[in-house]
Amino acid sequence: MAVKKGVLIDISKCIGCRACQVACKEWNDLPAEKTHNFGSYENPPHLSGNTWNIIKFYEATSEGKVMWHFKRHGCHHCSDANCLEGCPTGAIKRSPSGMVYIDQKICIGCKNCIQLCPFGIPHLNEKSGTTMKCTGCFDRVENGDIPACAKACPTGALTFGNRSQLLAMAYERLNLLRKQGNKRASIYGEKELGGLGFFYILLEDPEFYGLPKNPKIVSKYFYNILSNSFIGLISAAVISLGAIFTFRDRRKKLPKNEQENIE
Amino acid sequence: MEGQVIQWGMPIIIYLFLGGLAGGAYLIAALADLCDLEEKKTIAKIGFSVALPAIIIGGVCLIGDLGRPDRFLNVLKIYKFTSPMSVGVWGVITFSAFSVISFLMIHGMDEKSTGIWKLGYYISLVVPRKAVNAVGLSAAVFLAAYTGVLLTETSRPFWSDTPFLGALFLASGVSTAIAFIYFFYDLKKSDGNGDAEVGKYKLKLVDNMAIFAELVIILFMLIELANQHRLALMSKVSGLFWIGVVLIGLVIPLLLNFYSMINHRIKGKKLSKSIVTPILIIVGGFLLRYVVVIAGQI
Repeated sequence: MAVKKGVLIDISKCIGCRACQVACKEWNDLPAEKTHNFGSYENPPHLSGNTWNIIKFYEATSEGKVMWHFKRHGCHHCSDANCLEGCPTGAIKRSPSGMVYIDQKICIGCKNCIQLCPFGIPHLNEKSGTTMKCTGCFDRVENGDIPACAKACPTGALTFGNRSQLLAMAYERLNLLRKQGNKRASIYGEKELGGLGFFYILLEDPEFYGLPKNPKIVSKYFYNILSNSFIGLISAAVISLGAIFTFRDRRKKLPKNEQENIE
Repeated sequence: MEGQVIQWGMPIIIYLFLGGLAGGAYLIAALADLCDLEEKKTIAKIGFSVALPAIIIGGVCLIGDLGRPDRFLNVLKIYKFTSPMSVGVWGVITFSAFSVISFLMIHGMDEKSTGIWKLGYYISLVVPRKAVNAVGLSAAVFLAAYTGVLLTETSRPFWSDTPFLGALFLASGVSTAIAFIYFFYDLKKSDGNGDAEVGKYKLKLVDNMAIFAELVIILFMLIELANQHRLALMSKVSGLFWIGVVLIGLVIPLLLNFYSMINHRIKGKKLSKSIVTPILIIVGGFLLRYVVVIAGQI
């Protein structure tokens, strides 16, 4: 299902204030967590079952000057969401507006979604024993409000709206950024995984921000499972034929002197 | 994937090992039965007796690793073709059912069988044992290969970079299963009569086929990873892989098997009563799961 609503994340406008982080914690009633200094202003250092949205800090050197880039890191609400397709219990669902969320009453904490997500977004919440991630504030969106992170953003780095309109805005902004000399600026998430609900205007290549260049759709197609099993089946056939050839009772067909040799 | 810790740890490693072992043991037992390997069906009996506890313990590990084991039944409320885990869980359940039935039937094949085995005899009056085993064989192949495919069907580096994990785990499952079967068969048939020697010889021969297949698959896998410049992903576990999996778990058992088989065929010596080879194979098979599961998550 294509995503209808979304959030445009404009890296060129983000100032790293982390208001979105706080708003997310507040709306979703998520507790603070113990953190540590790991040599960066990033805090906490990574997503967790209690932190669904963080600002990642990146340093780039341009014309001898060091420049900081800030990126909102959280669920992208992919159109082809690996987590949703691969969830064995159906706990991962999509809201009518296209937000992907985990039904906490159904999740069994198998951690399959963690292995399936190419962005490393879902995390196990040790207390609940279930996997958690950004819900896209579907509870707000389905009631006519906008996600808490977008509402709190003071610079317009996070803009909520209809995805098609956001995409048009993104292209307009991209043209401006390129005219201003940002030659590597690009839009990430227009087509990746069928189109991301939360997509980006980047100033550097996707890899610079830790975003996979070509994230793979894993579970959408059953033939993926079949094709990956095919070599396994060949291996099974070869070993089984070898075993059948070995196990069958040759003595029934061999002359007596050769039977004695076998024994 | 910064900030990710090992999500699938020891319980899943044990489950993947036991799943492969159970599938492999059923496969060998069913083929031994279908091919009428021995009159008393000792190998088939041991094989089914290894498969059943292996899948039960593996299932317990799988459920125990869940964040909410109490909700395990949620996974049985739906069937999703797009979810390798959902397909896998139903595969495990199907296999478990066949495993129980085949176990009862092989032990209850005699009309004079008593107790719970009599149930197996009654089932065989309704469905021929070999027909059950033949169908169960496909569930066994599925289970042994699926444990690898489950890892391939993710977004994890290394796991998703190679399509050979299903084949590798299957071959390893067969090899470790034969190691278990051989060990118990050796204990049971310690008198070393001719029939037992034939059984042991044939087990060693098939074991070598599986080990050889494993080595070939590993070679293909490494070539594939090298082509994608992904070999570095194994750097942190390379010592364990080369020494534990390849040398101790595959090459040495292959050579030991060959040595005793050649001695048996040419010099007419009895196959040595050795627990070293089976133990090396079992340790190597376990380390294979460990190396693969960890390499995909660091």
